[in-house]
Amino acid sequence: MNKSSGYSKRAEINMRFSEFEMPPMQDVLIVGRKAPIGPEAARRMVDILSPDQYVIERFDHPIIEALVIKKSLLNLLPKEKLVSTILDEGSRLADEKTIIKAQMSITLQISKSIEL
Amino acid sequence: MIKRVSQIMRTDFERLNLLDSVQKAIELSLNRKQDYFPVLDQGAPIGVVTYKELLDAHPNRIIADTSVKRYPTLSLRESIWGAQNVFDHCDAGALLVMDEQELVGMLERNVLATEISTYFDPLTGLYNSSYLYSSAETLIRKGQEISIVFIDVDNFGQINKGYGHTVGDNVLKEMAQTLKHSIPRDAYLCRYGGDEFAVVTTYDEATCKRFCMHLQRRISSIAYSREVQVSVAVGVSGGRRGQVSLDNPVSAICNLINLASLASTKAKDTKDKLCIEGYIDLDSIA
Repeated sequence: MNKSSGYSKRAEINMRFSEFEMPPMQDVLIVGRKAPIGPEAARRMVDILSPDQYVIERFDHPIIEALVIKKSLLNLLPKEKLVSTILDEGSRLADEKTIIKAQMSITLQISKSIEL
Repeated sequence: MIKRVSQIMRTDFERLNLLDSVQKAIELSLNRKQDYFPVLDQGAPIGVVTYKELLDAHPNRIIADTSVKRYPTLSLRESIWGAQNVFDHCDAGALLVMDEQELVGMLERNVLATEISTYFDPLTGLYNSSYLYSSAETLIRKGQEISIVFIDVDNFGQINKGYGHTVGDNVLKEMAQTLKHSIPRDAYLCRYGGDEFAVVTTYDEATCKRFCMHLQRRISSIAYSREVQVSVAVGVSGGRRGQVSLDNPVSAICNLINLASLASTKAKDTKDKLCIEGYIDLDSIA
């Protein structure tokens, strides 16, 4: 009689490597009112990972509690314009439980004429 | 005589750190049956968070990202009346109690309310004498001079005997209501006991005399139950602040109240039913 065991245990391992984003956010983080990470935790995270590169703006807004904004963006646009644009678009996507990271691409078009 | 915050505060409580998780705080709250938590930043108390606020926050959040409210703190030596005053001016459910820079206790609003309720005179709805002592002490500690006005109903025993005790009680209630509405915001009224009421003010002798005459007119103009005719004798004593700071003004206050009480007895034999016992240095009677 040929007795087979009929039982085996195997493991398959798949690995994916990718570079850790530094910091793990890009230009803007939109923090919902009931998101798992609040603005203070976000501030401490970016202050440790990328000191002096981000600012936190808190709001009295029904969905969005705060924005974490890369400081360099504020060199291109006035803060009020940037914030109102992000809030306007962000509040259509975000709900109070989410954290959304946003990439901003800003192109300035300047045309100047000078006397010759 | 004057109950302090240290006598009614809670000392067995958990503290939260700004970086603790909301989940940990909720578990603590359920295990320890604690609804209010002091929040510390590097050991120093910065505010209070409530169980309800913890439930509103995501459990993964840190305490710093919940609604930590920064309220005034209470001193360990504050009277319960001083604590009541602080609660009256904020919406806190609990306040932190400090001994100098150290967090030593927590006082919950409902605990204080229960304590304060025992100082109400059930007949008139006024505070009892403990309130007077505490108010006088607060004024003296602020550097104010004080006057004690002692109001004694004339022949109250005769009213009780002639009309019955329920009429006597009604007279006291009606008088208490009138006094309550005649007392300015910077004076503090209590039912001292029996047919005696007392007020502490910061008025000087001349102002206090006018104030007493005003009270006498108001009291005698009330239409009392069964048309009982009521008059009062008023005794006044006053304390000036000397150069010496008073570590424990309570004994000076006791003496002032006693002087005012004796003055009200003397006043019964005077024409205008008012006797001012003169103003003396608090240091000399402390």
